[in-house]
Amino acid sequence: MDPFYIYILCGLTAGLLGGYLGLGGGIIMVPFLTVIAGLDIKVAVPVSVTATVVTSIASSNEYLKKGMVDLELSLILALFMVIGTITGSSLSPYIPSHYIQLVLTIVVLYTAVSLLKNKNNKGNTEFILDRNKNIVLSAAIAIFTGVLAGLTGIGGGVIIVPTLYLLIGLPLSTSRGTSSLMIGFSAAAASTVYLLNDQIDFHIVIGIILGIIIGGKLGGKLGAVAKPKIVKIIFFIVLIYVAFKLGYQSLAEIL
Amino acid sequence: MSEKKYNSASLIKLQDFSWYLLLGYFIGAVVVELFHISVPFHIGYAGVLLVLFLTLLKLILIAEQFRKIRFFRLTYIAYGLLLIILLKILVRLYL
Repeated sequence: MDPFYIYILCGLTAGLLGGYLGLGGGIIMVPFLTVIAGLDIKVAVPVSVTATVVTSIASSNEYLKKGMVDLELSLILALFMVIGTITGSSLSPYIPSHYIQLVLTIVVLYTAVSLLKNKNNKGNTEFILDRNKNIVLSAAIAIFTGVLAGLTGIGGGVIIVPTLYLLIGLPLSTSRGTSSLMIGFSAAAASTVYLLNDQIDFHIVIGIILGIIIGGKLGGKLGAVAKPKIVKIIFFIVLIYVAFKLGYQSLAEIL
Repeated sequence: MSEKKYNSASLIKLQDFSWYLLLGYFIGAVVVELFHISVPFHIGYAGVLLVLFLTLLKLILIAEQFRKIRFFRLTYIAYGLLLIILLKILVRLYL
């Protein structure tokens, strides 16, 4: 099979699953490109962050239409996240691939566990905390997530959504909407750095982005009509397998 | 909350337009790639630039909308975001 078709398929899968399960897509794309397509993580990450910008356009718009985006928080936290992503993506050329892969393994495992733990309790506004009190901690988390996102190519929603929900006290759906908008800005910053460093493979980007544009739209529609419980369990198993492969590869290199 | 005053209709329109523009562009790019009509490097490069340009446009729109409703703190934050990205570009190009 022509690798170009694999890239389109990867984008489609990432978009479909991402839209369906409410994930950004980077957490699917980077492992897919490294484990299945056999690309180096330093090739997969720049492609993934660029595609994440496109995912954000589609997903955040759906939330904006429903009034589920806190623009104020989105901008404030995006400012800190962008600082993190620029740092992470600038550090990337100096960090060996297997260490980045090891960090990604931990993020994938965390995503797998949080995916199953997510009870989908929508609209819980009972515990609005002191927003200003927790904003400093949230900003620190946004910087940390930015560094991770810039290094590993994940969008960062898997960390930002719980932060907005648990620390700031936003309803879960608004947390998702706010996160989807701010991730677009941070991914754009990371993509700019990778573009300036000539690290983006444009051949791969074309296929991935087309796949994710179409897959993301379909996934979002599918998610609205079907219950994702079984898909979540299947995806959990896939993520555990991917984490094992990634972790094994990186540890074999390190040790 | 600020978003109650903020009219997000223009932002939604811009994002909808961006989505269709990118869909059209990348369908064209894939066709070109599959039939080897042109050099994919330039098409891919322009595609990434288009994605980034649309994001910058989005930031400017948000900033200007906040300026319109006299919410200057968020206008500065939006332009601050833009400034950080532009500074990174300038540092990378000229230092």
